[in-house]
Amino acid sequence: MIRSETAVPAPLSRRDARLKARSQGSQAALVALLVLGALAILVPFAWMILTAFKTPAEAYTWPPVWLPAKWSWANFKQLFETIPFARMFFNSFWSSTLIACLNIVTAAPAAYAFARLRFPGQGLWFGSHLLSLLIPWQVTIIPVFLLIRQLGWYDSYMALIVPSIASGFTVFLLYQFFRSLPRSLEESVLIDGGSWATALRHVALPAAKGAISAAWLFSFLGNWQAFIWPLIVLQSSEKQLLPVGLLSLQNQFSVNVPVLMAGATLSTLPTVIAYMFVQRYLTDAAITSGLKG
Amino acid sequence: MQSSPPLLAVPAVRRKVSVMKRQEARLAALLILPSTLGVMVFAILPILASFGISLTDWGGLSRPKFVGLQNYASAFTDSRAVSALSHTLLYVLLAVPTGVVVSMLLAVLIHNLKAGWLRSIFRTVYYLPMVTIGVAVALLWQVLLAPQGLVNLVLGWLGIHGPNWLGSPEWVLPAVAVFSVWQGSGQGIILFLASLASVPKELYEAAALDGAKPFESFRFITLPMVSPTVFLVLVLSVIGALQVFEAVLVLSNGGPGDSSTTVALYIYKTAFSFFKMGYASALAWLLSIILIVLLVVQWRNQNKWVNYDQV
Repeated sequence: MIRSETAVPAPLSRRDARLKARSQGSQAALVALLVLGALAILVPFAWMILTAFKTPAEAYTWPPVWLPAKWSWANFKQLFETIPFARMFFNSFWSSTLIACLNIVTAAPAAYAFARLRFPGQGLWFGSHLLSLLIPWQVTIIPVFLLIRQLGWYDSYMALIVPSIASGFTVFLLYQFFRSLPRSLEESVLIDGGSWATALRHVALPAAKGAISAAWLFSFLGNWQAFIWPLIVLQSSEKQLLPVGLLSLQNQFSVNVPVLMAGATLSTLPTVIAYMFVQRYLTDAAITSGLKG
Repeated sequence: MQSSPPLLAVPAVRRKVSVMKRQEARLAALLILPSTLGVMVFAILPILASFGISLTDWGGLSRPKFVGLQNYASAFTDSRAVSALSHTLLYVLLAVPTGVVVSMLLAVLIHNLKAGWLRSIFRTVYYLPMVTIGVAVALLWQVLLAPQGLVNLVLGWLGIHGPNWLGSPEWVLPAVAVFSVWQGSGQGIILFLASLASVPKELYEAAALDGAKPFESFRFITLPMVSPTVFLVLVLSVIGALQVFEAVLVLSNGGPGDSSTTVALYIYKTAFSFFKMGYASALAWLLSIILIVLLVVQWRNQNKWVNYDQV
C-alpha cells in the first residue's frame, strides 16, 4: 500500500517533532527580541502622536500619562497660528519635487555617458562627480553661500534650487544601474545602424524606469529632509521649508511640548505613509548605492 | 572599466571608426554637460575657493586679508576648537561601534526568521526613522530624553534613576549617540540583510554536519562572509559621525556650555554666527584631513579582517 510506504517510522518522527519544537522555540525567541527592538522604534512615534493631543499640563506630569484625558485638536490649531505651517509644508513639497526632477534630468544622461560611452576626460569628469559626493559639506558651504549672496539670491528660491540641480549622488546611483544593464540590447541597436542616442532613448532609458524612480525618491527624500542649506540661505518664514520651520517652533515655544509634537507629527506622517507603499524601491536602491545622504 | 562596443577595427574601416568615435565623444559631451557644469560651479570650484578663503581673514563682506597659514595655526591653540574635536571623536567612539553592532545584530535576527512576511515587517519598521525629517525626530527625542521623559520612565521600571540626559555635560553626547543609533541603524540593517542573503546556504549545512554550534557558524562563516559589508557600514558611519551637526544643534545646541559642541557645529557657528569665513574654512579643511586620515587607516587595516574571497 502506498500509504504504509510513505508513513515515517515512529522513532524518527519523534526526533523530527523534537527538532521542530526546538526550531519553533528559537523562532519565537527571535520574534520576541525583534518585537522588543521594534517597540523601541514605534513607541517614540506613538508618544509623539499622543503628546500632540495632550494639554501642556499632561505633557509634564510625573509619572507621565500615556493617553490624554480629552482628545483635542487645540495644539494643531495653535501650530497653524504660530508658524505658517501649511505654507512651509507646501514649500518643502514643491521644491523637493522640482529638485528631484531636475536631478534626474541632469543625472540620467550623464550617468549613461559615464557608464557606456568612451570620450576624452571621462575619468576626470566622473571623478569630479564622485568628489562632489564625498567632500564634507563644511568645505563647500561657505564659498557657495558667498557666491549666492554675490548673485543677490539670498533669501530666494534661486539660492535653494540652482546649487542643487546637479547631484553627484544621483549620477552615481544611475551609473551603477547602467553598468549592470546587459549591453546586448543596445549593441543590437548599434549593429542595425542606430546611434548611441537611439540606444539611450529607446533601450536604456525604458529599462532604467525602476532605477530612475528609486533615484527620484531618494532625491526627493534628501531634499525633504535637507536642513543646513535652507537654514543658511532662506530667511523669511513665508519662504522657509519644513525642517527649519519646525526648529523655529522650538525657539518660540521652548515650553510648549504638545504644539512641538503636533508639528513633528504632521511633518512625519506623510513620508512615513508614502514609505509603506514604496519601501521595496527605496531599500533596494539603498543597497545598490551603499550610500545615502 | 568596460571595453568599447565590438566595432571592427580593421584598417579598411578605420576612418569610419574614427568618425563614430568623434560622434560618440560629441554625444557624451552633450549628455554630461548640464550635470558637470553644476558639479564644477557648486562643488569643485568651491573646494578650490575654500582653500583660498582659508588663507585669509575675512568676514565675507569687506576685502579679504591674506594671512597665510595663520588660521590653521590658530586652530591648534583655540581651546574651543580643540574641545570640539575631542567631543567629536568621543561621539564617533560612542556612536559608530554601537551603531554597527546593533544593526548587525538586528539584521542577523531578521535574517534567521523563517516567515518572509515577518522579515519584511521588521525590515520596514527598522528603516522607518530614515524616512522622517531629522529635525522632527530630534525634537521628539528631546522630549523623550527630558529628565521626566519616557526614557527615564522606562529606566525607572528597571530600577535605574536616569540622569538629566541633555542637561548634563557628561551625558549629553551619549544621549546624542543613542538618538543617532535609533535614527540611523536602518541603513546598516538593510545593507547587512542584503549581504547575509548572499551567503551560500551550503556552508551552514556543511558546518552543521561537522557539528558546529550556532555561535561557531556565526563566528567562522557569517562574520568572514559579511566582513566587506561591515567595512562599508563602518566607513559610512565614520563619515557621518565625524560631521554630526543636525542632531546636536537640535537636541542640545552644543550645550550645556560647550560640552556637546562638535567640529561641524563649531564651524557652522564660526562662519554664520561670528562671520569668520577664513577661520571656518581652515577648520573645515582640518576636519576633512582628519576624515581622510581615518579613512586611510581603515583602508590600510581592512586586509587584516576583511575577507574579499567570496565562494
